[in-house]
Amino acid sequence: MTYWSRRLLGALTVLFFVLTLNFALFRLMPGDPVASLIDPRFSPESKEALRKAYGLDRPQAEQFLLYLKRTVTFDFGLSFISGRPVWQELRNRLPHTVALTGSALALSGLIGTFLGVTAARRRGGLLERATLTAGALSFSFPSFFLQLLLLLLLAVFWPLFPLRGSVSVPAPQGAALIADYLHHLALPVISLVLLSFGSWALYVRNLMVKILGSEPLFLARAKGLPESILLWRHAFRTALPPLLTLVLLSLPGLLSGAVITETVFSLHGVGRFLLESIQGQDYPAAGGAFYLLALVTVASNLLADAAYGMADPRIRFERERRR
Amino acid sequence: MTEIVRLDGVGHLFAGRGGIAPSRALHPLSFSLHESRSLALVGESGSGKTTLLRLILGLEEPTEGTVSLFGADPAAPGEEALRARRRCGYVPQDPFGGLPPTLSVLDAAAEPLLLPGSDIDGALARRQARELLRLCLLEESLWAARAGMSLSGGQRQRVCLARALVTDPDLLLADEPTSMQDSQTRRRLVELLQARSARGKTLLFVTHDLVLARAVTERAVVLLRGRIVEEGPTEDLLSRAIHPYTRALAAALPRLGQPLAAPPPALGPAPPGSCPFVDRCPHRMPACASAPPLRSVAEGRRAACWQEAPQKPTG
Amino acid sequence: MNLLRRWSPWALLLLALAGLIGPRLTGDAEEIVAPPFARPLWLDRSAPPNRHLLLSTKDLEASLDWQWGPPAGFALTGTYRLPEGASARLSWTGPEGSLVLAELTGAGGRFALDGRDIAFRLRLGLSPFQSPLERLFPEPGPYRLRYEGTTPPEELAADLHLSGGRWGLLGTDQRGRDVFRLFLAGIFVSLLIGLAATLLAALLGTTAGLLGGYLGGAVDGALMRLADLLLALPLLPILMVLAGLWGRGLWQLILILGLFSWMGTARTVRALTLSLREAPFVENLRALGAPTWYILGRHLLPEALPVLLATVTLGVPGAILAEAGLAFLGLSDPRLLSWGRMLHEAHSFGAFTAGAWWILLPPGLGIVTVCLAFLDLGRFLEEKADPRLREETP
Repeated sequence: MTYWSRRLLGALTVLFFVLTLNFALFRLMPGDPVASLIDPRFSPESKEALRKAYGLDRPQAEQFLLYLKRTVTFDFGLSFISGRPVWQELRNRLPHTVALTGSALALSGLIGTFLGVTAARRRGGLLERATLTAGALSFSFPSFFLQLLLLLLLAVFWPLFPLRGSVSVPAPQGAALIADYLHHLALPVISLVLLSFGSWALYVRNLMVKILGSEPLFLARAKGLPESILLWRHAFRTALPPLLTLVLLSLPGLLSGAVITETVFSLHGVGRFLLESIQGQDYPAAGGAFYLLALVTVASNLLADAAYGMADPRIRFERERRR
Repeated sequence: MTEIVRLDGVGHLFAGRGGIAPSRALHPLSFSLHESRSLALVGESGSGKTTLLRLILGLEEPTEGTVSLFGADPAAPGEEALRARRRCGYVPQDPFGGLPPTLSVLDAAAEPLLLPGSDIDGALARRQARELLRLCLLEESLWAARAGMSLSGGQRQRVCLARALVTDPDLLLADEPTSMQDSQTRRRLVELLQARSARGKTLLFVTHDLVLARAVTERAVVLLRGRIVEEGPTEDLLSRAIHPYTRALAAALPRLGQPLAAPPPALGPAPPGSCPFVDRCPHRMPACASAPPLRSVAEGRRAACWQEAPQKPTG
Repeated sequence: MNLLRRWSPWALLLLALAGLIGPRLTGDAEEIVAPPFARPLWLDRSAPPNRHLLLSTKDLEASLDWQWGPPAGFALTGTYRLPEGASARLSWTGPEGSLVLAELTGAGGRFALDGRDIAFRLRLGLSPFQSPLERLFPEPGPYRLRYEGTTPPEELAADLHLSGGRWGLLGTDQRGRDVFRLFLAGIFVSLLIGLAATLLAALLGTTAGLLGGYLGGAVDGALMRLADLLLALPLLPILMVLAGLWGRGLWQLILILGLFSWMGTARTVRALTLSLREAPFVENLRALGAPTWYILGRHLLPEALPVLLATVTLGVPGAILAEAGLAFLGLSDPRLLSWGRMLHEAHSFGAFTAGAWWILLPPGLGIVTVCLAFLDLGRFLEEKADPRLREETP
């Protein structure tokens, strides 16, 4: 029990730190702190009213508590740019970001796992060498560079895919809309898969090589089990918990990647919303988007720990001891 | 004669951590060491020899009793304790961790002279270090090598000895300093220690080997499971031991042409509070269920055994 | 030395030299040298090159042999002074006849004509929306710029700049700046930020690791919790917010990147320090009264140095990619010419619709090359620090 409560406490600490950082950053800026929370274009009367409503006339500690309460209920205030509640804007964009990162994660995970397992089985083969190279390259290839290249090749020189946007303007109706949306989503997803399948394959290959060389597998092979059962039922099952953890741990990186991807392809999503808010000095919106991304990261970290701890009780003990 | 080391009822308990029970390294014990004398701490591994050394050096604070080193508490902060500790040289048991891995052999040997605050000139320190390396039988070709690499355990051990002796300490605490040496080298090192004692320097020598202890020390203390079982002149302990354990130690030493005596069968761990030797003792009796006190059995000799002096001391 | 047999140190040396010397040789990267999106010289031989025709008090006539279609730009600038009562003109003569470019009247002054000027177009008898270049260059052949007047001028300096659609080694960007010069300028920024941020992170990480590992207790607990905390946060959004709020200058960027990437180094150094802290020689030195700074500086730091060097080298690509990412998102100082910035501008200002891949490739490949070089170098140093790794790497 202490393991779980400890992990939960850790996650809450991180979240509290994020909230504090968010609170401090947007208020410690040069100039009037009010300017960072209330649209400067408002009239003095409405500014005063909002100042009261946001509690900006109270002491800092009280403001912080108020801020905590509001953030926990996803009340981030009004966006300067659109004038609408920030949470409404975010909720509107979140599904698009989820569609992008989710499909990229699923595809690269599937392709990477398949390639990794195959490479581990045929060691020294061409596929293994290709996998290793792809994995090494993906560490030093700036995501936006690859995406720009893809865009130039497949949207400009050979226009298979649209150059920008999440849907065509004007948007088609009915089933055509879904097709149009997928058409716009295809190239971003392909680019993300290209960027991450290599490291996936590399990881899976290393894991499988280790497992295939381990004692239980050696015994199973000695018993004369067919290679395919050996591979998928025994070795792969052992590899599953770490893989699950990797999925969850790669989420934060994917979200960071989503900011860039959405910018390159001009997609509608949380990442580009964050960028536009920062560039447009729309502080409530930037704060809200940042908090949302941090929340997803913390949650996936926690889930990763949970998944690992559930799949392998030894880890629970190990981590306990290391603390 | 000045008392250099004095232990009064010193015991030590290692605190348990994370569900591991605390373990007793030393039961309260007392002894002292006077200037220009030499004392051996003899015992098997785990008997508390090294802990005792660490307590004397102030590396560890005793959980019971008081340690006095040159009249000061070595573990206390402050100038007095520091001055006392600086009069000591220490050869750690593990020669691999005993040397700084990044320094050259020469620099490692000279380092104790050149610590911050020292007013000794670097050239002088290195001259002294060279002298000692030579005395400790390290070939000149090794002096430039990094101490952490490319040296054998025995070579490292000798560098450790040179490093401990470079300050010409009044008290040398050596923890099995010759355990990795061949017999030729061991003899030369023993001569080095004997010469040092002849100059009136004090020695505290930790070993499991009574014969070696006889070569370098006048008196010895035999430790078993954190208790003193016998104390006396080293020569007497070897030839006329009182405690069955000491006798077993002396008998276990291989002698030419004589088969090794079979060790008595172990009877499982000694229950807490009993005599530490009860599980292996051939003269076991019901009284051994409680640990016997250390009693004076003859002039300059103490032993902890319920049996009435099994061998009459002579003289 | 094995190091010299690797490609990476040479590539880095070459790049660093190019970054240091290159900008001095090629000139100001911000200078507008050719029309926007001019292609590289070697790429398209059918497009005309850049040409200048100069007139001076001594040379009143200049000619050239034009072998291409019309150029991309036509700009004539200069000054003149005429004797009292004289009048003159600048004429343009081609295979199909002669045109008057400018009437020179009065005692003197300056003139500036540009193919994009509406007044100039009207004077040539064209509509305001018609390009004058076809009129000025109807076909390949000899062309001549000439001063024609009643008397020679007292002073004349004229420069006719014919900008072609080609320029330099790597063409031009959306503002007509030389891509090769921008590339060279970007080397400096990328390497500086990458190295400085990593060094800062290494400094912070080493201090934190040494202190935490050696002192232990509450200091260690606090430092390691902080490291855990920072590792659990999404890096790019934090960097974005900080760059957006704190400022986007070179040093701010280095500071931000450094502050958020010390954690790995701290963990490595801490582990090493922990393993040495209990070593008998360290205990002995402490007993002899050696101060903490002495033990840390003389023994623990030298021991940690090889590992540290490898960690730092392997950390540089991360910093370079992070800087490039921020710059690409437009969150760096616009005056800071970096590779990321070049990609940002290429993406934001129409390089795509112009199909101008020559703006895209150099900075992107530059980043990839530098990152791969540092990775290679780092692996080498890592193997040196811990020879066991050599067998493990496939």
